[in-house]
Amino acid sequence: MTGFARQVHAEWTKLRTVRRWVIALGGAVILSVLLSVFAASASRTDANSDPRIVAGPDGGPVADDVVFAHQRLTGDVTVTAHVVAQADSHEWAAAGIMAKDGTTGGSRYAAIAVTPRHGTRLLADFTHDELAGSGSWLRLVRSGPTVTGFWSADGRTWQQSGIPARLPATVEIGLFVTSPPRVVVERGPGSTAMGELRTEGRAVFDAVSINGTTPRLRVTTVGTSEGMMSQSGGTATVTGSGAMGPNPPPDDVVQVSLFGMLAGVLVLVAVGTLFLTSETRRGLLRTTLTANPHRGRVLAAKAVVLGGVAFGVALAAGVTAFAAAQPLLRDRGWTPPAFPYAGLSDPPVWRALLMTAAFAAAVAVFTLAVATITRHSAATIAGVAALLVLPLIVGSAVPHRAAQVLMLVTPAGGFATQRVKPPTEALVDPTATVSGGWGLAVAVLYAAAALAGAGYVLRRRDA
Amino acid sequence: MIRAVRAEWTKVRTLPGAFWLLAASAVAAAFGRTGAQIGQVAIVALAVLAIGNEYATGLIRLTLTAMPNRLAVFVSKLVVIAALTAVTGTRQALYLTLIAVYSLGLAAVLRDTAGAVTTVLATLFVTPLLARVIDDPEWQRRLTTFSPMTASPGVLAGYAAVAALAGALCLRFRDA
Repeated sequence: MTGFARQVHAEWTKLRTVRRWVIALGGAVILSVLLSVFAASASRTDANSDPRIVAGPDGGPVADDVVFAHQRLTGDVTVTAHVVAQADSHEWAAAGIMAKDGTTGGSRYAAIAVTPRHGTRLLADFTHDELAGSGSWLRLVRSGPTVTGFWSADGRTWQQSGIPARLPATVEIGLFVTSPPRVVVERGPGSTAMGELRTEGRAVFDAVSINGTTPRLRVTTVGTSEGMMSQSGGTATVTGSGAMGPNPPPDDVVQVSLFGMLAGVLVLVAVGTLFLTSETRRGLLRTTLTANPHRGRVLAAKAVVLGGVAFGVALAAGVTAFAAAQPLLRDRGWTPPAFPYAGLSDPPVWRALLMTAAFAAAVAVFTLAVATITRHSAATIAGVAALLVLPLIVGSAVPHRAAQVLMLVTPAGGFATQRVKPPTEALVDPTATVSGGWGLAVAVLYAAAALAGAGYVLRRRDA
Repeated sequence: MIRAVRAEWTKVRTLPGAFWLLAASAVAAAFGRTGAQIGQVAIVALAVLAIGNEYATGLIRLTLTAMPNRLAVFVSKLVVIAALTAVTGTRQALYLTLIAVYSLGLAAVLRDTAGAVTTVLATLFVTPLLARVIDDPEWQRRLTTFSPMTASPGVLAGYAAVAALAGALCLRFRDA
């Protein structure tokens, strides 16, 4: 064995032979799982009773609120329309031509539309949204299995691009208008009020034709949208509110099932502190440093062992907590379409579990380094625990921006690794203001900086 | 009794880091309730150390040999720590003093500095966060009512009394 490997082995032996620590580490797993199970058993959601959340083509939660002026057609079809005017009701308001698999919420569609600020876009099945160019003359051509969007600035020279859509032989086809609601978020102490203000889109179309003739359109308000259509020959005015697209609620089913990790991490802080201070207290550190005069290497070996053990313990706790909490959550409303079932084999889930374990390892190493500098168990545990938990408590009572800053300057942001959804303003939880990657990066930075400081004082100071 | 209190005062005064812990909590407590929530961390550490450190070094056996009246020893510790916290706690004195008594009592039961600090902080910190993550209103109400950090002074005093009593009984009837 090389020198360093021998040292790592020595530190591993020290860790595993202290019975109290082994019990504490086992306790960390049990505590994490129990607390997660309790949190899950007291968490109910009524997101699925929200009429604006319906199941999309792949089962995921989507909003399908649109005012649709349409005609039923089978087989190949060409629709042309010119958007003469569109109200700037919302930057992502849309007005254009759509072919849709019926008027039930969540049905497949292919569309081409103009927006007030984001050009002419090709849209399909809630998730596909692509900038085509600019031009208020629109055409949708369905030929066999393929759908193509055409756009033009003057109605004479056209550009085209395919739209990835899988539509049945018979579709409803015609004009549509959407205009998403404006989201208003107010954060107060311990609560967040999220309101939505309806906006009304409005568009005037002319030169409307389906397969070369002027159609007779009838209007349907799909989902919770509100609006109307008036048609006079090839000219039509459509008003409408609502949006089409992915619409997952901000709550994170993975995060709820990992809540208990908080307790496990606090236990790791205690073990990480004792892993060092018990040596300084008993004078064992002097023996250790005599046996290995390279002091930086002693610290590195301790960090490797502690980090590895913390990673393993946190991963075991996370996997068990997740598996135990999921069935409970399913019984309490956390079901599709608002919350698609999450399993351990889903990449976002195991990525969150691995990142949570990495965060726990970073916290343990950070604690070890702080303990090396302070040589004071109580102050180290209390200080690190405060640094980890207080930002979570304080951050829920301050504005979004301040919470975000708090998460990016303290290692508490690392708890964001438990979320699989992107950051959102809609939750009280401050960890929802940053991504897991950033949170983890801050925690690792803390660990690295503290380790460097600890290496420095260990070399300069008498043991 | 006066001698016992003086002995405890000398021990607390000479605890490594005692001055800094008190100073940190005093500065934090000047910033009101949020400050006290930060500053309580130092008070927890100090109160736990007041007894945990004696167990760690084995000094407790010497102390109890010199003063066979164990209850007097424990009460003296409580008096010194509570007085120090009350004096430095300014407007948050009541809250911080109750937290100090609660910590000292729990530390006497657990006889382990790291274990006691972690346990006290976990009971303080985890419950308010748990109340936020769950949305069963009944459990939310229970958690905010009974979580030491958000509870009324009366409930917190109850915790402190139970912890102090348990600590006193453990010290009185258990081998040191």
